[in-house]
Amino acid sequence: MSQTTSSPPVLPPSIAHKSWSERVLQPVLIGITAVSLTTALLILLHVALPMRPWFWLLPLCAFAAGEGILTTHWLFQPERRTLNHTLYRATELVSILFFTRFYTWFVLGNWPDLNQIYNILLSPILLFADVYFLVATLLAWITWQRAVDAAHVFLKIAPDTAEIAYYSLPRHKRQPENRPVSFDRSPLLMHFFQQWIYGSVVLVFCAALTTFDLVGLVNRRSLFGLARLGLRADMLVTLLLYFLAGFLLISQGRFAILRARWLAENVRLRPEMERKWYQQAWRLLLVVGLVAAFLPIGSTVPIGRLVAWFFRLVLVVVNVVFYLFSLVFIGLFALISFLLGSGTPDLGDLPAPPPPPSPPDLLPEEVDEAIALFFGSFFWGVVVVAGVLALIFFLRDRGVRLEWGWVTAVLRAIRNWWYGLWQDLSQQITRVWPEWQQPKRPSSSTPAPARWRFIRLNALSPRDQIRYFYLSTVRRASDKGVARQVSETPLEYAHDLKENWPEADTDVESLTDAFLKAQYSPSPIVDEEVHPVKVHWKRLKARLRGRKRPSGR
Amino acid sequence: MFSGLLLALLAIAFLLQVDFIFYILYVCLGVYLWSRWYFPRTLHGLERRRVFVQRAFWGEKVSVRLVVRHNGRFSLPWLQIHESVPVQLTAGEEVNEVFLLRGRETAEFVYHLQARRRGYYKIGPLWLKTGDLFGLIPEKTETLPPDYLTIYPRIIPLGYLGLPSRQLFGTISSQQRLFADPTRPMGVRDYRSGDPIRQIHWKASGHTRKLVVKTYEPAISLETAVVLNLCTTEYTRYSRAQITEWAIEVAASLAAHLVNQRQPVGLLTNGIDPLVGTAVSSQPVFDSQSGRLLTDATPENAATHMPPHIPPRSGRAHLMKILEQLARIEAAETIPLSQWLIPACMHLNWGIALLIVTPKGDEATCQTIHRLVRTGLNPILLVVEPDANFGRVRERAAQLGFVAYHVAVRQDLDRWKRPLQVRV
Repeated sequence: MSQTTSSPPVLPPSIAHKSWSERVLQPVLIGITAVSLTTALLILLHVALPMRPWFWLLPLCAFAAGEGILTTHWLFQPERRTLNHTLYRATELVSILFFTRFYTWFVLGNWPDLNQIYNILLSPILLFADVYFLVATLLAWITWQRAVDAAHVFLKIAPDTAEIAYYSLPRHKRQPENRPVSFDRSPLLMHFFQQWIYGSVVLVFCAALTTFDLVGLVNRRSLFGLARLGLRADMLVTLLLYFLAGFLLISQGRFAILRARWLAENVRLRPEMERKWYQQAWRLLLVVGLVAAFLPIGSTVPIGRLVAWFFRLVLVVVNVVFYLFSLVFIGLFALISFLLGSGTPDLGDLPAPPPPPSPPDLLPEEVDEAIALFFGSFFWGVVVVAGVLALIFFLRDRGVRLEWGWVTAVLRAIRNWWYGLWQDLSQQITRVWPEWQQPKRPSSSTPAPARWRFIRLNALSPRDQIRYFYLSTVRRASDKGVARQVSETPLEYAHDLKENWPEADTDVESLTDAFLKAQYSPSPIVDEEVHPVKVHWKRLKARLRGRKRPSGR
Repeated sequence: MFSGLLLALLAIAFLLQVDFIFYILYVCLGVYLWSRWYFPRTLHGLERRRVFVQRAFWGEKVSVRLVVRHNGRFSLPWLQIHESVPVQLTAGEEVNEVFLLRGRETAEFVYHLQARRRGYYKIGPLWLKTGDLFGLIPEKTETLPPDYLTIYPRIIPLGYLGLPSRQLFGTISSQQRLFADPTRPMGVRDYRSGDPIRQIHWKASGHTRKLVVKTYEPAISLETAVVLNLCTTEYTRYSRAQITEWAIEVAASLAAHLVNQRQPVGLLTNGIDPLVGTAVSSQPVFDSQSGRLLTDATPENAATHMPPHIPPRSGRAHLMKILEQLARIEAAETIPLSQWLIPACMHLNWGIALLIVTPKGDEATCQTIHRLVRTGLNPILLVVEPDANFGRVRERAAQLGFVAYHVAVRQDLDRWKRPLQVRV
């Protein structure tokens, strides 16, 4: 078989365009690499803290990665060189932050009610006082940052428009002053390579940690007797995807570097070269992967055991050295404390210090609240305006234009609604004001019953749910005539309930115990603990509903 | 960096005892080892050769074929080849290509060279470069050593020189009746008083009933040595490059013509041959742009670079030898003709014709040539630089006993393109 060529053309044609792999495959691989890393962290979080829906953050991370890559490609186009990239990136991050906040509310189902909104208005920090949201923000940022960094590297590596335009000209038409500045692209790929390796170490470390029984570790609070689990399937897939995508990206980067060099050197590149390059990379990885699958696992071969023992020995030595250093440090600290302590006079005989002066009278609470409300509102006003401006700036150059006519119509509708509401209120006040001016009748001794409001049970935390079960039971029992006295403890009240509903003594006891734990115990309450309490509560509710009101207590 | 990854994976795998990390470690190690082992070995084992005719006449188109064969079983993902071609010879084609070479596949590339200027040119080397798919190892480079192409000087076909000779019984027709060759009968004519009796053609006389004698074609033996003066100090500075080339072309044309006439021809020159005088161990140096052979001769050591004289011999093989030397020869500041010519002609046979190609026919040159005449040689002066007063040179030459011609332009050679017209 032979391939023959004669009189190769001056212009290498296959270099002068962006291929589908650059436009499609490469962004996908970058996204996979970035999301794989955060997936490993999510899996680790899920293993350590299984009560939270961590895997719901995966779409968020994928969105952040995709958005970052697309925006990087978009910003890299020549006509957007004049755009302020830093500002644009900042608005992009603000948009992702807003999106993350709404997404976490959506996932957890804990949309803020009016009281919470009021509290957030007073204290904006409450908006961020959510561990799940903070973790989601951190992971989204990590994914976005890595995706943007990798996309930028690969865009810089590939021959740019100026180079393609210049080297596409015949040699005699090239003006030396138009020659693009050539630079070494290898450090860029090396940068990506480093990032990939750091990520792979983190990933592998996470994968190793997920093989430990972390829940058992938390419950036992001891490292001894730590159980080992197998590698999870999702972690296995994550590892495979990360390494495969990374290798393919490195291969693509290598090809891009060579392609830029070939372009500058007027090397003729055959059109099928790029496709075959990727085929070769795939083939090599598959063959090596297949061969590796049949090799003995390193820990089972004798040399592997020796190496493992060596590593353990190194670890033991490091521990011993650290332990000795700690002992020396503690000893020195104790000695210094002793020396300093012996020189100070005995304070036992001295008269007690005078009591601290009483604090000045604070301003009335209402004034504090008004100021907080004012500053909170001002802060949120600024945030909303900045957010809207950021969103407009972010979307403006991407073809999404704000329809001012539509905005004006909405504002006009809001104004009309507000005006109508104001008119109604004014009429109401005008009607009620004369009655209000009349002398008030003495109020009754019994307070008005609290207004019923709908509570969404799933939006409550596990602790609040158990409280709700108990308090609703108390309310139902009160309706049935077994009211809880102010002086009664929950256990005393449970005794009353069991007297009146002896068939529900188990449920009453369980519910009371759960309530006591939820109300007074500092230990965390997980989702799994709520379900049995709920069962008891439902059963008790049915019994309370079935029994008629007793004649007397 | 990649080694760092492997070590980190190894440490984590052994410390935390996760078997799948071993698998990843194996894959990374496998890719690395494959890249490290396969590509240098494969590149080194590539068969490559350059096929072309290593000598060409001026104006010819030389076809060069490059063959690269991969004897291995697995593909070579990319192979970049680049052939260095002299700019003066390029025909707008170049071999600068990247391609995939499958196992047991042969790639062939053909390009052409245009022989525009005489010289000794380096073709190549052919650079072959390859590397792995991931950039884990540095690129590897191999070369196919260069070959050399000799382009002979332009040869202008000549018909009849008409140079005087003192040697009889040659193969060249002559207008000098003295040199009539009895082995080459040409016809008959009427008898005139004084004609030898043995030249009477008796059969024809009987047939015509009057005495007629045989006529013979006159012929001479023209053993010739072309003397080429390439001492740059004797050339006019501003036109030196063109005139020296023209002088070489004249010398080559004369040599070719005489060899075609089956006459022995030799070559004596005081130019320099870049291949002469350089150390055997050192490689010849070529100009990177033009591809021409460069010389390290200086005015002090130029004489050591002068090629040895080629004694007069006949035959095409001998002509090729002369033309090869004329292809490489360069003008330089060597020994002037007046000092060099007499010693150079000491070993030549008596009566040999010396075609002295020189830029000027000044007094010193003519006196030197006159001394050759007195030693029994037969010098003919060929002046190649334009000279408005060449008539004086011709007169001076005639007075000193030799012939002088002015061949400053190509049209001056037309007089020798005419066929022989024998006066009977």
